[in-house]
Parts: sequence; C-alpha cells; structure tokens
Amino acid sequence: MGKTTCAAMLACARSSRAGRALLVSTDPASSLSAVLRVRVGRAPRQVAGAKGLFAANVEAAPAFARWLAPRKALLARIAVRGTYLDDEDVARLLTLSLPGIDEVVGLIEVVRLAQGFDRVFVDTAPTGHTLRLLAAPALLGRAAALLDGLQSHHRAVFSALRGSYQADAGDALIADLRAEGESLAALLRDPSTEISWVTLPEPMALEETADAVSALADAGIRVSRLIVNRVTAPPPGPCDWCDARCRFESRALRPVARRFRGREIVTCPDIAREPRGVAALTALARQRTAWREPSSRTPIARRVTTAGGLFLRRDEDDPIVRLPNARTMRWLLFAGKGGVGKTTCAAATALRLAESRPVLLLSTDPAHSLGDVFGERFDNTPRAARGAANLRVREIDASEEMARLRRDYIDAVEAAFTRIARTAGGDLAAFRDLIDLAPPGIDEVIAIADVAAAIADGGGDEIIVTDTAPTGHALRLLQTPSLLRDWTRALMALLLKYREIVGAGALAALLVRLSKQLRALQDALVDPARTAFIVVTRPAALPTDESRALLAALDGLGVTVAGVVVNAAGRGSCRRCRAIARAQTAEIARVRRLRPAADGYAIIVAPAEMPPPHGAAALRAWAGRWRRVRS
Amino acid sequence: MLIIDSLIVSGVRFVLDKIAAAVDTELNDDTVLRERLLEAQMRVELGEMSQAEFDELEADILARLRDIRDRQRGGEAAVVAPRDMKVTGIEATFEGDEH
Repeated sequence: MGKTTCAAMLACARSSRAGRALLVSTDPASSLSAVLRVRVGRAPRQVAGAKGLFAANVEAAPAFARWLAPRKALLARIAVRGTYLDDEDVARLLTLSLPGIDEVVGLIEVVRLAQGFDRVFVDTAPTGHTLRLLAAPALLGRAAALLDGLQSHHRAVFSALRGSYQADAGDALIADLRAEGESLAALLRDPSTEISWVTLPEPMALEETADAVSALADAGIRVSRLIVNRVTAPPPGPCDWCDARCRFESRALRPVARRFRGREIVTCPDIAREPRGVAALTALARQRTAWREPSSRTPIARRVTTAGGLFLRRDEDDPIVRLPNARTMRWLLFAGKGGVGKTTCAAATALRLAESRPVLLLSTDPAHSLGDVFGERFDNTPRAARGAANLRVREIDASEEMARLRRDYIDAVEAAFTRIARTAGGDLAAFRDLIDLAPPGIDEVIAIADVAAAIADGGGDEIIVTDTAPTGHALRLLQTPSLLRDWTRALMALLLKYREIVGAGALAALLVRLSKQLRALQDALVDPARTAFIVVTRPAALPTDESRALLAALDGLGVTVAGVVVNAAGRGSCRRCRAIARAQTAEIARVRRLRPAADGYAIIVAPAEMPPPHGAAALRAWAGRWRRVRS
Repeated sequence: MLIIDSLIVSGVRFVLDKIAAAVDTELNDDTVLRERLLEAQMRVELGEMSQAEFDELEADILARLRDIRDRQRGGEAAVVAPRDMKVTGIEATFEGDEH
C-alpha cells in the first residue's frame, strides 16, 4: 500500500515546521530504514536532511523487557499472595514469553519514545494487526482487573488481621496499569491524534479500507484522512496498459467520496522510481493532491495483459503443478509484504492445484480478502467456491475459535476448582481470567493448530493452501506455537504439582489436547515432505528488500521455501511504462540473486493484468500464464 | 471407660468405612483411572515420561477400564463388593495393663 512511504512523506513534509518530530514504526517488518535511506534503530535518531525529524523502530522484545523489569517483583508478590502458587511457580510463569505482546507494547513504547517531541508520526503494521494494536488499552485494563482480584484476597486477610488496610505498592501498580490503559485509550480518541489510512485505487484495497474504518469507528476511533496511493497519471503517449489502468482506477475510486464522507481524501501519484530518501519523499509530498471526483469513464473493453522479456522460460509451463514434492505436499503457505497480492496468488495457485486434487484454501490474515478475490462471501466453515470443482474456501474466524477455547477453558477451570472452597484464595478467578490476558494473535495460532492436526492425521490427499497475514505477523504465527506450548506445559506442571487439591480432570484434558496440537503444528511447519512456503513479492525495491529478510527468517525457522512469485510484472508501451519495466527487470534480477538456484526452488513471474484477475475463471487462466524465470 | 471404648470403636469403624470406600472406588470408579491416564499424558507432554512407559501404563489402565465397564454392563459389582458390605461392629480384645 505504501504505508511507510506515506508516513515518511508526511513526516518529511512537515518536519520543516518549528519543533521536533518523531517518525516511529510499530511494524515488526519495518522498512523505515529503506524508505528514509538512513539507519533506523530503536532509539530516536536524527534524519539527515530533514530539519528536526527523528526516526525509530519499536522493537517489541526489548520494549517489553524494559516495561516489565521494574514491575516484575511486584507482580510476583501479588500472585504469590493471591493464590496457592509458591515463589517458584510464579517465577516460572513470569519467565515465559508472552506471544503477541509486541502489538500491545507497541503503543506503550510509542508513548514513551514520544516524550520530548512536539509531533509524532506512527507507521503501523498492516491492517489486521493494527486493529489489534489499538485494542492494547483494553488488554491493560483486563490485566489490572485480574491483579486487582488477586490483591483483594490479600486486602481482606490484612483487614481481618489488622482491623484496617492501607494501600501498598501492589495497589499502586494496579492503579498505574489501569491509568496507563485509560490514557492510551484516551490518546487514540483525542482530537489531536490524526489517523490516516493508506489505500490503493483498487476495489480490493478499498473494500479492506472500508472494513477497517468501520471497525475503528466501532471502537470509537476516527480515521480522519484517507491517502489513496499510487494513482496512475495519464500516460505521456498512447498506451493500452495506462489507459486500461486509468479506467480501472476511476471506476474503483468513483464511490470513494461517498463511502468516506467527512474525511480528508488525498491522492498520491504512482511514480516510476520508488521515492527513497528525504529529498524524494519531500518531492512526492509536493505531488499529492486533494480529492477530485474521477471523470466518468467507460469500462475496460478487453483485458490487457503484459509479459515482457523478464528472463522467462518458454519451454515449461504450469510452474505451480511442477512444484517440488507436489505429490506428498499437504500444506502450501503464501507469505509476503502487505499489498503484494498474496491473496490473489494463493487463490490462483489453489485453483490450479484443484484441477488434479482436492484443495482447501484458507486465509489466516485477520483482514481477510479471499471473498473479494472470488467475488463471493466465505466464513469460518469451508465452503465450495463457485466455478471451482475440488476447491473449498475458508476464512478463519480466529475470534470464534478463541471463544470456543475460552469456553472450554473456563468450564474446565471451574470444574477443577469445585473441589476446593471457592473462597480460598484468588486461584479460581486468577486461572479463569488468565485466558482473557491472551494477547492478540494467539487466536490465530489456536485456529491454525486445528489445521495442523488435520495434516498430522494424514488422512485424505487434500492440500491446504494458506494465505497468511503480511510478513511480520506471518513470522509471528510461526514462532508462536512454541511459546504457546511453553505456557501449556507450565500450566500442566502446576496441575501435576497441585493435583491432590484440584485434580486433573477436564483442564488436564484440554491442556494435553492443546499441547499435542501445537506439537503437530510445529512438526508440520518444518516438514519438507509435507509443507512449503511460497514468498510473494512485487518487482520493486522495497518488496525485494523485505523478501530478502523474509527468506532469511524462514530459513532461520527451518521451514522449506519452494519458491518466490514475483507478482504483477510487466507494463505497457509508453515511455513511462518502459522505464518502469526496466526497473522491474532489474528487481527480478535482484530476486534471482537472493538465493542460489536449486532443485526444489523456483522463481515464478506472474504477469500484470488489467483489470486484475477476479473470480475463479479469470484466476485460473491467469495462473496458466505464470512462468518460471530461467535459472 | 465405655465411652472411650465406644469412641475407639467408632473411630476404627470410620477408618474401615473409608478403606471400604477406597477399595470400591479403585474397583468400580473409572474417574480415578481416567485421571491417572491424564496425568500420564501430561507427563509425556512435559518430557517426564517416555512414550514406551506411557503405552504400557495406558494398556494397563484401558484393561482396567474395560473390566469396570464389563462389570457395570453385567450389572454385577466387583468380586469384593464393598458397597454391599457394611461394618456392623468391631470386636476388640485388649491385652496388657489397663490404666
């Protein structure tokens, strides 16, 4: 979408005003360094060439450690006083990592970094996860409530023994947490906080934007500005591609003013060279324009396709069907930067594979768009897609899966604690409410663990094609199972230790089931015979940079990468298109250099089409035009 | 003296009742066995028990669960049917000096 570029553009454009400004990214896959062309670290650093502008990236792990350090001893004391747990138990629980805490800490860290700055520009993670970042204040409130429950037991005992109670450091910590949550919530709703939403002049992106804007409105947060990025300017000469693209965009944009009424709408042009560095960003800022109703244009008469030279192999088609281990493969996951076309590529691949075997196409991105790609509605129950035999589609409703787990968990905890007096300690409440502290993102892992269990069962020959959330969060999805398993193991250890008091029962059964599922998920993800990743990118500099980081991260996690799909390659015949096509060719060459050619690793080019493929038939035909790059 | 004796007798009766109940539970209540199985499963997940040890224990527990089910289906309780037994009295002999 160009979120980082737009955030950096606004920051550069306004940095000449008096005062100090901070540009900070909360995206775990931040590209601020690449966009600004300066090294950006976790401490704010002056951006050369932009007066008064500093930049920083929020790094979740150290930020959380910094936040926790002064509070840890007190948290432990509250837990020991309020439950049957001893020092050793509590210490063990507090050493566990909290998966997903990055999104919660992100907001707290931004506020900490913002001290001493007059203006702060925040570049957030892609849609689905930004919505969760904004849920951070509520999570802090829930943590405060849980601790308060534990502390109330201590207060009651203390009052009974001493006749009265005086608030202590534990109460102060609880009050601080509650206040921190409330002040973050207020900050998000404060009129001085402007939220700009970056989108593209395409129906899919605009649909996602509308969903996000309404989700934010439901949370009482108002998006004040819409930035429509990469709008195609009229071509410098006759060009079928540019003409089709302009028609496509104006049709997509026509309802924008009505749908986003009352908000400032700004458009930024699509420029041949991605703006990098302060000078280019400032120049881009000058090119942004206020919203103008697009002129009425007739629809595109015929599909315009591109291919170009682009090192393509002519001797082999259907690179998808020829993927390594195609016969044993059970799980194919698509990963990549936000906005590169992961969903479209995953859908096209699924359709192609469904010609020879049953396929389940699954989306784990909280901002689902499979429905938009196929032009029909899907939900948490797998359903056949129109015009596609052998293909079922499911958009995982992680919150529904999490709600189910929550119900099971609460029933199990309550059953376990019926054996001991309910008034004894805050254990029941603490254990019951523990699940409400599950940070955002856990729900996706829970949801996908079911899928892994299906793969582990080995039954059937259905292949699961998964469209994941953008890079940073897809990686988190891969790291979370082991962290979550640590939690289930810690709880099992406690249950064994106190089994004479609470008994094993339903809670043990639940933990065992969860632990097994997570183990199956971990095993399935790193099994080269059954599972492979496809990295999706666009032939442009920033996506290539992010793909390099993603490939390294996937290697580090021990998962197999079967290939890279370079999506939307090729342009038209005008001077501007030819310049862009040259830049794309250079980027594809860079993608080829990312890792050595090898058996079982393919670089596939998916040609740009206008209008972009939509619906089963168009997607299938498009996938038939994908070609491998010569190695 | 009689009061003390009676106290001792009822105490012993209480203990024996408990033992009878425990035997009953052991022989006819599958909850205990299921809990034991779950505990073992947790130990496997925690790496405290090997899969082979678990398999052995599981086979044993499943066999006992089957026994219980068979008995319940057959409508008969365990051979030693503690539910049908009632501790009606205690015969005690005291030896040595009485104080």
